[in-house]
Amino acid sequence: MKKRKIILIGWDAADWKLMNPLIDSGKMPALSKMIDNGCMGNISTLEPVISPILWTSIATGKTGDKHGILGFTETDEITKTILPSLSTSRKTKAIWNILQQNGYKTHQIGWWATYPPEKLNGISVSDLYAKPNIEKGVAQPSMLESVYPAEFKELFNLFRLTPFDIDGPLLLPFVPRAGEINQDKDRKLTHIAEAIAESSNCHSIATWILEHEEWDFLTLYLKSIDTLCHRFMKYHPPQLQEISDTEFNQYNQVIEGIYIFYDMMLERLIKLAGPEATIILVSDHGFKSGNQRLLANPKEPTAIAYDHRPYGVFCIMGPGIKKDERIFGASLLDVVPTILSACQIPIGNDMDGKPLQQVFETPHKISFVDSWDTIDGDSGIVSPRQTTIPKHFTTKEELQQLIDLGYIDDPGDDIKLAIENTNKESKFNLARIHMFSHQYQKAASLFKELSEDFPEEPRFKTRLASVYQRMGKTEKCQQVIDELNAMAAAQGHNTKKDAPKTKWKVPLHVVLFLEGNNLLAQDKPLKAIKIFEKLEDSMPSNPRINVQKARAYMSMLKYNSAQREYEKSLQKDNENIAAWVGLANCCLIDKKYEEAAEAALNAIGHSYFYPRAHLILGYALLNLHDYENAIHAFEVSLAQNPGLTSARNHLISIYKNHVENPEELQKHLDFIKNNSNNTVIIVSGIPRSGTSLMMQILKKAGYSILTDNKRNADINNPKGYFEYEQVKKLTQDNSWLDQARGKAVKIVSHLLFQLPDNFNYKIIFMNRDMKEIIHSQQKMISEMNGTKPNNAYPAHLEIAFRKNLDRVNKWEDLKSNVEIQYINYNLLIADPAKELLKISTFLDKKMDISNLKKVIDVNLYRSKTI
Amino acid sequence: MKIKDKMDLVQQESLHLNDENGNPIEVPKEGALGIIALGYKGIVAWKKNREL
Repeated sequence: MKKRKIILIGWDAADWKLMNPLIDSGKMPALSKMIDNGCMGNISTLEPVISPILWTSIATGKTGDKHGILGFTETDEITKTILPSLSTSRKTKAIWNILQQNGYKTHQIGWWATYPPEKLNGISVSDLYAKPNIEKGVAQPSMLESVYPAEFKELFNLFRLTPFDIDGPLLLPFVPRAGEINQDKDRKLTHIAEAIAESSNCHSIATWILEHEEWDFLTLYLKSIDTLCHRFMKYHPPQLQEISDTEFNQYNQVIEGIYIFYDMMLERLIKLAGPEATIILVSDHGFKSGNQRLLANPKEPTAIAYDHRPYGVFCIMGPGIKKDERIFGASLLDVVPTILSACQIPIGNDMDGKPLQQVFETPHKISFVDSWDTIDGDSGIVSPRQTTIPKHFTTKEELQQLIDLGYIDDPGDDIKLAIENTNKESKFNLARIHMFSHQYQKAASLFKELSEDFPEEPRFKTRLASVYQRMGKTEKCQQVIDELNAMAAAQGHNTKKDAPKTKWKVPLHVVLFLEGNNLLAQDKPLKAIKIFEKLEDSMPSNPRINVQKARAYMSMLKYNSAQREYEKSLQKDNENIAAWVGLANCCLIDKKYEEAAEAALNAIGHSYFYPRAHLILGYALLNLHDYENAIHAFEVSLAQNPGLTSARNHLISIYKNHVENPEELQKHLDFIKNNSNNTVIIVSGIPRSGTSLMMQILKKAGYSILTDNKRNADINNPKGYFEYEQVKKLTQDNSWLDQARGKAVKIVSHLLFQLPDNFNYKIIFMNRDMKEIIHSQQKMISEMNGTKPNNAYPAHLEIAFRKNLDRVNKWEDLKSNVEIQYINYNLLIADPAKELLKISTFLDKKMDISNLKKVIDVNLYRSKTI
Repeated sequence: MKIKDKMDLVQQESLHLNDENGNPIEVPKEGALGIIALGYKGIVAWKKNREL
């Protein structure tokens, strides 16, 4: 089989938002050609947004906990020094190793964390090659043994540039008024020159390899969009208030300049690669521009990452690749599985991404191996410490660029402290990786250790509180919030003249935000709103506060107030997707379908991969009788999230009642039939509404029941309660729901709102005459306590129960993964066949009604009101 | 081919810098981003021209 030739190009921090205007105005013709002849889309980044971790994830298809690169620097335990992250620390094979093992001639240029260079069958150029090597103001050849085979270094030095080569005329496209700048005082031109030289040094090697070496696979990483964005984004149009006219006029073309330069290099690579090659362009994240720009970041290491936007770019062009298509839902982790799929090489089961099959004209059959790491072969991977690290490498100067850019703190001369700080950051990043990949327990334990080891640093505690919140451990979250508040109070005292100054200030707004969210998680929306209001007073321009306030109002069913908050949020940030979706939802509830559709379209315009926004759009269009567009919207929502039962049900309803398309109708009916294993059947209602009877019916109908039988049958429920103890702890831990797939479980109505969104729920909700319910409850309580029944009717209870029922009703409207069938207990007793048939239809299961009727023992119906 | 020969070849190639249609590309002494973007050939040609 003919090998596919692939070039993987990495542009750090490239962002469609900045490139689209340049493409539209013809300033990036090469990329424009790639888009026209291939597939493009956003690619979502990972956490933490730190380049060496992200680029190693792109190259391995694995999260940082698996690949082992945990930051910009690492500690060498042998020499007790700080080093940039090394290739020898990577714990798993990269794409170039896997392809080489499969007979591909591979070359690697400039990727993060690739020093010492790996012994590939092609040429390997480490990330340290491109860096300008200046000693005492004089440019030196490339540093160290940064190239493999080493003999090529001499050749590559022929076309190596230093910042000193990039002078006046070459800088004019970036800074047209460069001549006016006093370079003794302003070093910005030097930074641009360094960026051009650095990129050129990698690009020129790629061009040489493509012209002179045999190649099947080549990776090329270029850093300078990121470095120049960090230094010059504040000067990019539109002009920020804080930037003077002089500075703005001098530097407002730098960002545009670097993109245009990169496009020129891309054009050359496409030409040299030839029409048979597949070109993939990817960035690790985007970069905040416009009104999202931050002029000041929090004071913590790698705070510079706050400038990054969560979406980077992905573009692919080549034989067998669809043309002029937009793709959705790509992640950095998908790049390697997609390349392997394109080459028809098995994907590792231990990889975290998926192949982007939608880019291929004819999707390939995917095959898997357990792990490429356990398959021997000539992969070129360098074993730990196979290469000696030269002694002079470990000087502070080597890390200077990272320090200058704010990526790492200056380690200073105290090497012991520097090692402690490096290990601390690695551990912190590992915890954040665990948090991102939903391994909350692991994340919590690392954040806890860090909080205990470095109690003066609030950033560990704020993350710990946040992870507790995600785990549903609201009490523990509150404890940490209390600790943070105590720290803040102590720091308040430190403002006194005689108090020592503290390096780490507690970010009070973060603590308040956590506090508000924690109250919301505890179903205390009123208290949460008070906190958010307080927060809003001190941060009036923050749009997230209004979104959280709106969510609190939504949980109280105060839709008008929620809508106002979503609108306020959008006034502050017109790109706040959560606010657009929330607003669309409010309009939907208010039956303002046109407004709902418009708001949903706004959300989609900003982030197309948002299944819920498409779902709301579809529902609004359905109510506007625009069936064709409603079908499209529901189909997109399902393509993005096939588990959205509600979208599928609406499609089925449209195909049954409005648009004739038997094939599509059957397709969706079949899907539901074949994918019912993510569905949990829930029997719910107010206690004593007949839920135990319904559980008996389902058991008789052949359903598996999730119960621990801890609560024994008694006089009030002689046939048993069918309860599961863990249900009561749903707010703290919902991990047990995995065991409930395809089974029936009993959950009282007030806990329904705590159900997570990652399952579909078919809920049989028991209604019963309210007076009977209350009477039955009072009777049960008096029997349990051995007291006389209280004859006074608790009207307040009835009001509370009715409110709860109303909330359940409205909650169903808001949830796409919830379907409720109401069953009236009184009717079930009086006319079982009719109610049992409803259940059979709802669960789409043929049931023996006459057999099920035997479960109903009329003698147990003892709390009649008449 | 030995590295020395590869280096000689690079020097020779840079003497003939042509566009897609075979027309010679002018390399300004002060350099140009377009020349750098051509890759190794452009840079070597520019370095040579600069030394003249």
